[in-house]
Amino acid sequence: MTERRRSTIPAYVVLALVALLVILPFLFMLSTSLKPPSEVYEIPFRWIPRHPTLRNYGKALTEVNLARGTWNTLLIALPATFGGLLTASFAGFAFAKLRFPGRDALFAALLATMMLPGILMLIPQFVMFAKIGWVDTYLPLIVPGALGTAMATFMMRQFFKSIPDEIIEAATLDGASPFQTFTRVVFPLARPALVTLGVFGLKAAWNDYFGPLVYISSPEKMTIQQMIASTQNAYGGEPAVLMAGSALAMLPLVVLFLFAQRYFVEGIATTGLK
Amino acid sequence: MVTPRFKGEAAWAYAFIAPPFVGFLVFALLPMLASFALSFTRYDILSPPELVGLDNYRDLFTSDYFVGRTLVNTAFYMLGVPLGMAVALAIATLLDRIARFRGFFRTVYFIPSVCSIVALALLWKLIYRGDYGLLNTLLVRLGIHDPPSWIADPRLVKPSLVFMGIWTNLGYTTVIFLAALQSVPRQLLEAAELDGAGAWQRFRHVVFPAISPTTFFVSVTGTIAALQNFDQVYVMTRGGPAYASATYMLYVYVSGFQYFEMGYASAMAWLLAIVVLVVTWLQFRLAKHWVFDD
Amino acid sequence: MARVVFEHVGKQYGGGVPVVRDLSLTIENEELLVLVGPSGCGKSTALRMIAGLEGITRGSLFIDDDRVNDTPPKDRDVAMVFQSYALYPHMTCFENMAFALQLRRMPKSEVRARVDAAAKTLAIEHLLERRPKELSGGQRQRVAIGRAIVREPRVFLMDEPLSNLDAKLRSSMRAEIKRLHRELAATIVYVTHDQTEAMTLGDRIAVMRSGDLQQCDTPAAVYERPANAFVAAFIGLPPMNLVPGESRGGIVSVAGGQVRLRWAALRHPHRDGSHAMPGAEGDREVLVGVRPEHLTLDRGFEQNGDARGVVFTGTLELAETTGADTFLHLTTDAGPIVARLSGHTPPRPGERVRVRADVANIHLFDRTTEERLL
Repeated sequence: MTERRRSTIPAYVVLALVALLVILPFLFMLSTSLKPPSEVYEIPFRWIPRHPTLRNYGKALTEVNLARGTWNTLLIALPATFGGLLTASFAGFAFAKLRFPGRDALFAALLATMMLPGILMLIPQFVMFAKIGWVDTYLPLIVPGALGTAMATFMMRQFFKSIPDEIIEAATLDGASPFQTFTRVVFPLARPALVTLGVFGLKAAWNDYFGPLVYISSPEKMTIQQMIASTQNAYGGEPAVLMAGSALAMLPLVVLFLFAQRYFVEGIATTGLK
Repeated sequence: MVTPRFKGEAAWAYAFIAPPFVGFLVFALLPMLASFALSFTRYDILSPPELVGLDNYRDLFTSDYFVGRTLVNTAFYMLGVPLGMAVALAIATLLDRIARFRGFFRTVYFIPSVCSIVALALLWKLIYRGDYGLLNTLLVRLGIHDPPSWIADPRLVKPSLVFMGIWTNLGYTTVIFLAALQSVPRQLLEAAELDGAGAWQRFRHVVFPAISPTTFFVSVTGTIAALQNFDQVYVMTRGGPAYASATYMLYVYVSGFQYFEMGYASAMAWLLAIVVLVVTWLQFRLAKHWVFDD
Repeated sequence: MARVVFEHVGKQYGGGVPVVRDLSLTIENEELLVLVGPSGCGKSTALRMIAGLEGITRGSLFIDDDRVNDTPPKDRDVAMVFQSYALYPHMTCFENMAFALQLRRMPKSEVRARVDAAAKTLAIEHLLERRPKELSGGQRQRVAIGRAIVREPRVFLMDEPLSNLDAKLRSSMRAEIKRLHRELAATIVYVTHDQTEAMTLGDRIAVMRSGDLQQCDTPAAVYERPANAFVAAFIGLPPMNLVPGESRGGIVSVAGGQVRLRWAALRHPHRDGSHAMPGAEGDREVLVGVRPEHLTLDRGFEQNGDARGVVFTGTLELAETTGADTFLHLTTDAGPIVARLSGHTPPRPGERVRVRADVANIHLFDRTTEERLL
């Protein structure tokens, strides 16, 4: 026992060093974001600002308008995520528990779409959305996800598969229709899976940069990621504002992660969600 | 004949699966077919597409210098996949051995994985800055004068980006490996120990085979993601300096959405898709020799 | 309550082997009928056909006078108790039991009254606000039965409801189900693979094998007059000894012995109802069956094979004592034989032992058709 304990000390040292390496950039960001302009370029770098200020955060929220960006992002992330949860749950339930002709073939087709590199769809999707006037609206960023992606459907199906058939049959004999079986029995049971999938959906939508970059061009419609990316040009000379903006863009997800950590870890560990 | 358990069970089912299928048809299948068709045209959205046969593909393979250049760059970024996996597996192994603070370390390591690439890219851009960047001020303090200006240096920009990429994904990969390691049956390890296997032999002959499906999963998904690397490079360097960091995906984006060469960009997309499929296929072929799935 | 009638019912998937073949069976009103057989015999499928969870390929299924082949489960008015209990994990016991009634838009007060009444019958009133995972296996089983009772269905279906319980609980729940059956005057179809459960519970038991009904009769009749060698071996523990033999001119011989049968006398029913089947006396290859408890130690060494019965001589391999009984495992020329003796001090392993069965206790089956001859 004592031998084993001694042998783990180097492990703790290495792990602590790695933790420091992970944390240091964030501390640097935090420190910089709290500095007045006069202190930003000081060499050597001072970890604790002499005159800490929130002015950079104020600037990021108002001048850069991250408050607006946050709202815009939520306008995309919430309907895309929750719509997707609902549709994927229905579809996942049908694939897992209902019997209908062509079920396995249709499911295989859906799985196959997961294998297709997204880049193939990129150009024609843009052309299509341009033709129907959806470019520079949020619809291209909401609708495909809200209809239920193959990945989300697959995940929900896997979850529903784990509910014993007998529970569904009991509901059938109790007189529930498929819709009632879904809403009263299956959906309430799916809460852990829904939270996991929802957390990852929100994360993906919040962090999405490529999608808005392609589709959103009006400055007032931009998402938070677009806005902080564009601060580079307008505020390139003010790293403190850049860091304040980045910190604000990270904060909601870091908080979400700290509270819903279990779901993140389980989602990744069991299914490799990203 | 299948007697339905519900009245109209099949009809309910079709209604339930309709949304994803509409999405699949409209947003995946049709675009894919259209992409194939577009790749044989010259098309700028404003004027109708003009059929040009195999011209796009010919240009892609013969005259376009950037295709080769960006593909080579992309291949370089793929080095980050095995490197990141090795580091993550090492850390996960340590985490698996310790008794306390495992959750704390895991939480810390995972934080970068929930942050947006854009924010991290801005942060690392500042860290890598030649003049007052964090990295160089630390190096100067350690007595290294005249440190390089990392991402402004064509020779160092790619390794710098790879390092940042490993840093970003470390927590995600570690969590996956840790879960795999924790599911290796303890009796198996104890049996190996009783058989006289040392630590390395236990890892080599017991642990590694047991986690090989996970290793395979991480390498396949990581490679596919690396082949489509875009956000990080776009925000940090826009492909510079002198195209030294430009990825193929960045080039597709520029062709399609800055020059509006939709036909050409489609052909480029097909080339990348085929590369992705071939690389994935190769990984599956190789997997037969080292992945133990049961 | 109701009658359930299978009329030439068959079921197969695609072109595969039928799961149920030409099943004709009537479950009488207020009867507890046990469907028993080894796994894969079609008993669960038959039960699920009544529930409407499995389609019917051929024939007709009636509940009372309604042909229900195409009636969806919820309109059949049957309730089922599942092996895994299949309680809704997110609902309390009350909600579990009330769910079906709520779906039928029954007034709240009546739901309450019915659930309370069922809970009282099952002595689970104190559990109503708990969730299934807070209950023991036996309590869950009661709730599952309660969920069926509140429905007041025409037929109760029970699919191996006790097989997830430990042995002690199983026997007390068996008694409980028997009591409920009496109190509710319910029609119950009960599926099990456990022949003891079938024997103790059923008003009648229906033995199935490979999709075919082998025999349906009272437990005593099935035990005493098994319709074929399969039923003979399946019902009874330890199973009936079956050894190959020959029947020629009224003499039945097995390796190491023979017995003379008076066919003329056997044609008339014995007091337990057993008698020779028509045409049984013809010469043929047979299986001779003797239940372990009908074998007695034979200390004498008179000539093998006399009118009194059949004798097996063999080496004792093993003697197992359960307390009340001793089981002797013998290796004889005719094959392995198990004898059940009560209160005997057993011979020692390795000794030569003779056991004898009275002619009245001998079963005879045709070796090719496995049908009962005697």
